[in-house]
Parts: sequence; C-alpha cells; structure tokens
Amino acid sequence: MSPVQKTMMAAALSLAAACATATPAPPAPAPATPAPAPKPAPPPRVPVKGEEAISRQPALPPLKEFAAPVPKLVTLKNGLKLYVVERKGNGITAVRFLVKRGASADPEQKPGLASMTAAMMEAGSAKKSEADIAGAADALGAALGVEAGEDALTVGISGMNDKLPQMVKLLADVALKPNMDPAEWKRLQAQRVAELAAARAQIRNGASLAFKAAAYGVHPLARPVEGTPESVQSMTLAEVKAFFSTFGPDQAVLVVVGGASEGDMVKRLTDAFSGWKRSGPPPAPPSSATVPPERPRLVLVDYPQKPQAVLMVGQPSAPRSSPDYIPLTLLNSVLGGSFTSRLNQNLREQHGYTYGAFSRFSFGAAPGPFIAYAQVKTEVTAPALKEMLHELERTVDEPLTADELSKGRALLAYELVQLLEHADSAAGAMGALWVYDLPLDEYRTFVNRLKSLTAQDVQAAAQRALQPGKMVVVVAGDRKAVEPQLPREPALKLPAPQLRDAGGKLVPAAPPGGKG
Amino acid sequence: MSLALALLMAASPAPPLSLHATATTLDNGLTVIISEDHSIPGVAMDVLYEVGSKDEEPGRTGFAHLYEHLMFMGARYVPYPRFDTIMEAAGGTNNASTSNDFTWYHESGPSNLLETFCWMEADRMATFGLEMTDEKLSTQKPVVLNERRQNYEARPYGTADLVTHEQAWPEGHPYHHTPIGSARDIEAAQLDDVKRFFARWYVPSNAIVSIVGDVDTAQAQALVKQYFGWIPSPKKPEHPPAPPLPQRAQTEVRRLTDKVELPKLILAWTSPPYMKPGDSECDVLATVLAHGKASRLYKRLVHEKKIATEVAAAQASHSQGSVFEIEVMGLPGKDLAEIQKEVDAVVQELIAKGPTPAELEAARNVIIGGIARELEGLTSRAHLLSVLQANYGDPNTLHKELARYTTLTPKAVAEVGRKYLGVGKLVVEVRPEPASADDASKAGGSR
Repeated sequence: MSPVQKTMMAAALSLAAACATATPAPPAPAPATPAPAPKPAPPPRVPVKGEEAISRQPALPPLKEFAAPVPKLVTLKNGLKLYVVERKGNGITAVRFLVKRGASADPEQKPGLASMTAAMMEAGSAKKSEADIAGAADALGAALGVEAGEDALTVGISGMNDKLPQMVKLLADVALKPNMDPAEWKRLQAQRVAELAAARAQIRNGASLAFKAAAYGVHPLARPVEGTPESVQSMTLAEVKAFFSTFGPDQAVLVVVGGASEGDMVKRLTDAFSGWKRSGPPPAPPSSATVPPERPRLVLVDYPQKPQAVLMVGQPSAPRSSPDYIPLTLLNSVLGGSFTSRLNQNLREQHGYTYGAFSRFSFGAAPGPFIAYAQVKTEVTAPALKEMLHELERTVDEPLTADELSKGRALLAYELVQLLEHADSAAGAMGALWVYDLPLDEYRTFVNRLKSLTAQDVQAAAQRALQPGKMVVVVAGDRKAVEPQLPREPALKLPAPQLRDAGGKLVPAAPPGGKG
Repeated sequence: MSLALALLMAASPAPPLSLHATATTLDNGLTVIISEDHSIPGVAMDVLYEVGSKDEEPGRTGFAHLYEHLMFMGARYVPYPRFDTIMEAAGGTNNASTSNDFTWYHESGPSNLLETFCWMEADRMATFGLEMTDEKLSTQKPVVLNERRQNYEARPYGTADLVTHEQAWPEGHPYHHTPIGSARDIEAAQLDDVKRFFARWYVPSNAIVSIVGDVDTAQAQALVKQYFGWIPSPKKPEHPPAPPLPQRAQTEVRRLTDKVELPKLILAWTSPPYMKPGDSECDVLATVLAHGKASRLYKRLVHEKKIATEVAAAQASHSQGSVFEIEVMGLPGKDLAEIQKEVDAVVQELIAKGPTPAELEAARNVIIGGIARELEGLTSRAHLLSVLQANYGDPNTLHKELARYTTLTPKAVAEVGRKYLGVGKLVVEVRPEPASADDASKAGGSR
C-alpha cells in the first residue's frame, strides 16, 4: 500500500504547461487569510536543556540568482523547428515532438479524435508491433508516451543521457510512421469505450466533464479530450488516418533537454526528422467558436451514497497569451496554489471540511478555465461552498496583502526552478513556448516581470478575469443528501440546479413530486 | 545458454549512475547525510524517522500518520501555522508521508532556506510533544478522516485496496492494518498517545537528516550540529520483532461489489522482505509480468485475448515482509474467472521457465531507469539517501542497490517465482454493484 501523505498538492505546478496533459490534472492545491489560530491556554512549559539553540529564527541569506535556460532555435530545411537545451542536469535526457493538433482540432461531432490518434500512434510503428516498440523503450530503460492535450499532441521519450541516439530513432518511428493497423484500431476503440465507462465511477471525473460542458457550451473546450462513448464508437480508422495526415513540419516542434552537446543533439534530430513532409492536405483552420457569455449557475451530478462531494467552482478565464498571465498566476498561488493558500487554510485547516482545497487556471490557446476545487464530506457541502464562494469574491473585492504578494512571488520563482529541474518537465515547458508563441527568453525574464507586479495589478487582473457571481458551481455527490442543504445557506442564492450525468450530459429534471 | 547469458551481460554493463554523500553521526545519535549539487540554486531536506504504522499500539491504527499531520500543528518556537507560512513566504514547500515502516518529512526551496529548514525541523524534533494540545488534535482528525474518505471510501476500488491489505497480512502481524487506519481508531486518539509516541520514537537516535543541493558540506554539517546536536536522546528505540509471515497453503477468495463500471481482479502473495534474498527477483517478475505494453500480462490479456483494459503488478516491499500483487481491470461484462485463468497461466509459464535473457535485461534497465529518475530531482535524491542509510547503514551504497539487479539470472528469477508465486494466494474479486432502482443518473432521471 502506498504511503499516506500530509497533502496531495505535490507536483501541481501552476506554471506547468497544460498542452501535454490530456486530462486536466486536479487543480493545484493552496490558502485563505490565515485566520488567527484559536488561542487556547498553552500547555505548561517544560524547559528543555539547551533549547537556546533553537530560540531564534535564523536570518535569511540573500537569494541566489537563477538563470533559466533559453533554448537554442534551429530551423530544419523542411521548416521543422528544434528547441535545444544543453545542460549538465542529472543524467536524464528528454525529447519531445509536439504538433499543434490537439483536442481543440477535433471535429465538433468527433471529440476524442486527436486522443485516439495518439493511442494509434502508440500501437505500433515502422512495421513493428505495439509490443516491439514498447519493448525497445524498455530495453533502453526509457519512458515513451503519446498523448493529446487541448492544444497539442505530444510524443515524448526520456531516459539516460547515453541512450540519446536510440531514443531519437524510436521517437521518430512513433511520431512519423505509425502502422495504423485495422486490428489494433478495433481493439483500441473497444478499450477506450470501456475506459470512458470506468471513469464515470470517479466523482472528480464526473464533476470535471459537467463543468466543461456547462462552462463552455458549443466551444471546443466543452468537449472531453478523450471523447465520449458515442463519438469513439462512431469514429473510423480512416478519420484517424486523415487527422494524422494533416501533421506537417510547419505545425510541429522538436524539443530536447539533455546532457549531450548541443551540436550532437541537433545533428541526431536533424538526421531523423529533416526528411519529413506532410502526407495529406493542410489542416482546416481552427474553430471560430467563442466562449458563451451565459452559463448555468448550479449543476448537480448525482453520485448516490458517496460519502464525499466534489465542488468545482469556476469559469472560462484567460488564454496563455493574455498580458494578465503573470498576475493571475500569482493570484492563484495565493488563492489556491499553495498549502497556505486562502482556500486551503479556510476549508481544510480552519473548518476541517476537506483534505485539501485548491484552485487553478488552465491557460491555453483559448481562454481556458479557472477552477476552484475541493472534495468535502457530503454533510458539509453547503457550508463548504459558502466558504469557497466567499474566498472567490474576496479575490476581486480586496487587493492582496503585502505578505501575500511577496509569498506569491517567492513561490512562483522557485516553482520555475523546479519546473526546469527535471528534464521531462523542462521539455514540456520549452514545448509550451512554441505551442503558445511565447518568446524564447520567457522563463529567463519571468522573475523580473514577477517582481514588478503590484497588488493593484493583481486585483485589476482578477477583476478582468473572474466574475465570482457568474461562475458555474458544480456539485458532484449524493444528490439526496446535497440538494436539501443548499437552501439552508441563503447567502448562496443558488437557483434550481441543472442536472448532468457522470459523462457530463444534460439529464431532464425529474417532474415535481417525482422520486429522486 | 549460460555462456550466451554471460556474454549478454558483459555487453550491457550497469548504466553509469553515481551518487556521493558524506555521512556523520552526532553525539545524540542523529545521522546526518549531505550531498552537494550546484546545478540549481535549491536545497532539499529529508527527515526520516524509523517509525511507521507497524509500530502503532492496539486500538490506535492510523496513529503514525495522524501524528505526521500533527507535526505541522506547531512546536515551541515555530507555533502553528508558522511552519508552513515561514517556509512558503520564502518560496519553500513541504510534505510528509507515512508507510508501514517509516515516516518522512521533506522540504525543498531556494538554497538560502537551509538554515531555516534546520531550525524548524529541530524545533519540532525537540519540543513538539511538549507543546501538544487537544485543540491541535481535534483540528487534524477531520482532515485525516477526509483524506481517508477521499482516497479509500469515496474512490472506486478504494475499499478493495483496504480489504486486500488487511487480508494479505494475518491478524496479529504489525502490517495487518493499513497506514491510513480505521476511522474509529483515528477518532479515539488522545493527547497522551501523542506525547508517548513523541518520547519513544521521535528522538534523534531514531532519525536520519539528508540534505541535497546547492550547499557546502562543511557548512551544512555545522548547521545541523548547531540546531540538532543539543537535543537529548535516549538510545535508538527497538522495534518489537514481527512474527514470521506464513505463505498461504490454500488460495482464499474474497468477493466484493463497488460502485464501479468494470470488474477488477486482485491477486496477492506473501513475498520476501525489502532487500532480503528474493526481493529483487520479485521486482523483475513484476516488471516482466506487467510493466508496459511489452509485458506478458498485457500482451495476453489486453492485446491477444481482449478481456482486460489494464494490468499492473508490484512487489510492495517492507522490512518485515512484502506482498506481491497483480491487478487486472476487466473489460465490461468479462468473467473474472476467465481472467484469472489467463493470469494463472501466464504466471505459471513465467515461473516454470523464467524470463528470457532479453526480458531480464529490459526489466533490469526499466528498474535502473527508475532509480535514475529518483536521482534526478533533489527531493527524491534526498529521500533515496535516507532509505539507503536506513537499510544499509551507509548512504554510499547505490552500487549495492544496483548490483541487486545486475547480478540476477533467469534461473534465479524462476526459482524465486516458483517459491513465492507457486503457492496459495489471496484473490479479491470486485464486481460492479447492480444499478439501484432510485439511481437517477443511471436511470436517466426520467421518472
């Protein structure tokens, strides 16, 4: 059995690139105005001999500078761009191939197409079987994966530095020469339908799908990245092949972060990828659908008898290209992106409603969602929701305190160090530069831009991005136990709920007097 | 065959992994490990106490983990909630974990936080139990109970995990109960329990402090000595020996239902303790059986027979004994008996003949690749050093850890497989609950 932990907030870096993640990760954890701890009479003081050694808080020496890497850009003769970072690191090299064909490029009736294309790319390449490809990665001790996110499809491999040549070759096979075998297609189709069914049992998954559908209407972000049972069932291998054939060097980037010399890394990638050409027609222009101005206030997803309910409160917010990216990221760190965040201090530490309360902005090519999140004991759903909404309202009503501003800066500055500490996440971060058309020195200049922010800047950004009174409130849990609680908190002023099922689909409301 | 294998092994030397640290022991018994790495301006500290859920008293299951939560509720010079606020104000973060054997606390942040980390960890090592109150206890109980609900009671198959654990270890064995414990025992914890646990287990002689990052070894050693060296300590506490763990003569079956859509099969065998003979062979068996899409169970059940969506296997090792576990998620409506028949056949084939030389080599590289990833980050490297120290009595033992895998042969792996997987096992079957009549979401809510 795995160990049990203080908090699940680990690895929820708010800076992490969203483009390689197929399923939105749980929103990063974080706190509220640290309410003064209750002050009971202190226990009688038992002196400990020698305790003078710890009686004074040490001074903090000056912070050392961190120069984030700026990738070297190389353009191959076929137009494919390489982003190369040579660094000593700790022995691991990561290579990623990203193409700007993620779920946002799925046809409206075929959600899951990019994701199923990714699955087929992993199911055998260059006339080698799925097991042979996976076995080749194992023999290198490397990790290989293909995944579709909202804005990009990513093929990634990572392993020890000395395996670079074999890793690049394997990556090129998987990225450029998938077998697209019909027998594998039938199997993967059945498997995905089963996985989508299995996912319905997870409260958080049900809440997340309902949130997307309610907040985004007909916009591509409304649709599940992995598709729906119906869309996957109706998909054909021909559609997958056609989607794959739109991939071309003008839409893709190769990222490498590793310990070999820059020249060596460039040469190996050039040899493997410079002959690549698009095999089909160029892709259709991206969807012009806009985010709907109206959205339901309250959405319920019924999970009978579950002892906890998932709360997700949020709305479409800002794209990655927004000038508010940094102030909103800082705001999130203080609101719900750290252990001492306002949400976590309030809902977990002060009230004991939850194991953790978090929030997150998923910045993307489109205005991705802001979501505040907590999984709470069913009986306290309404009071927990009241506290969560209260904290959200404060973000637009009040500026951050000087301490909060300074904490947010310090946390984000070190999150950046940690993001670039591991080759895999560093490669993801470098890939995001290209997917979101950001300058090569984005990370190098980040800390200075962070330093110049004021509390007023952050509040103004919050007011532009967030309208707490118009956020979608999703509650996924035991409807019989949850619904009667809501009117008991009149401050919530919630209307009758829209009902959705565990797949995010609208459910007609039961007629009055009807059962359940 | 053996010659071919020898050649194969000669052609694939162990990958170049290295790790160097300096270990010292303070007069009070605290072990201090420092490893410099100046590639980023950061530092990670891992404070490991050799106490876990196996050391809990009767009626207090889950206590070691509850105690871990309480450790953030303040001590004498860093009262609540200053441990977290001081750390985060300077860009640092922390977490902590509890397993059957160990409890470890870890923080990481800009390298200028090193002295602050020392101060805060030393404060709670020295004074935490003295400053404990009922109020602090009552603040963390609901958080832990919510953790239990979130990770077990409300999570699909979470109940099956608890049942598997409790059935895999016999009553009376210190691993019989789970680290999360029972809700009733968590509720029952008292102030005196905390003070007793603090006095017995949270003493310098029972702790290891590992520091990795952009630090100077001599300076870091001096800081640790300054902040921790004065803390009085009794001699290292002893753990009551665990009774030997019998293998099952007969296979036992437990059948459960859960609010899930897919059937799941869990098989568990008693296996050798961590680092004892047979442990690394079991790691290889698990890797050959279920790591990735080239694994034997994946190929047979997912690819060929098309009866499962997912397979997993692990040798979950602990100091007093281990469990070797296989999990299979079935496709909708597939018969768990048919799934088990296939799993049994695959296991039998593997333990009869052992892995092929190529499979063994790949498994070894997968496992060593995993260790290479642990070495990559400061936090996981600091923890690895603590674990090497706790198990080998010396942190500079990575080569021993690697040799456990590089010296294996297919024959040895097969023998261990026959010995531990060729006997009775625990079978846990989880089936979807029949849809209930008033379940509006499934019935479409149209009534």
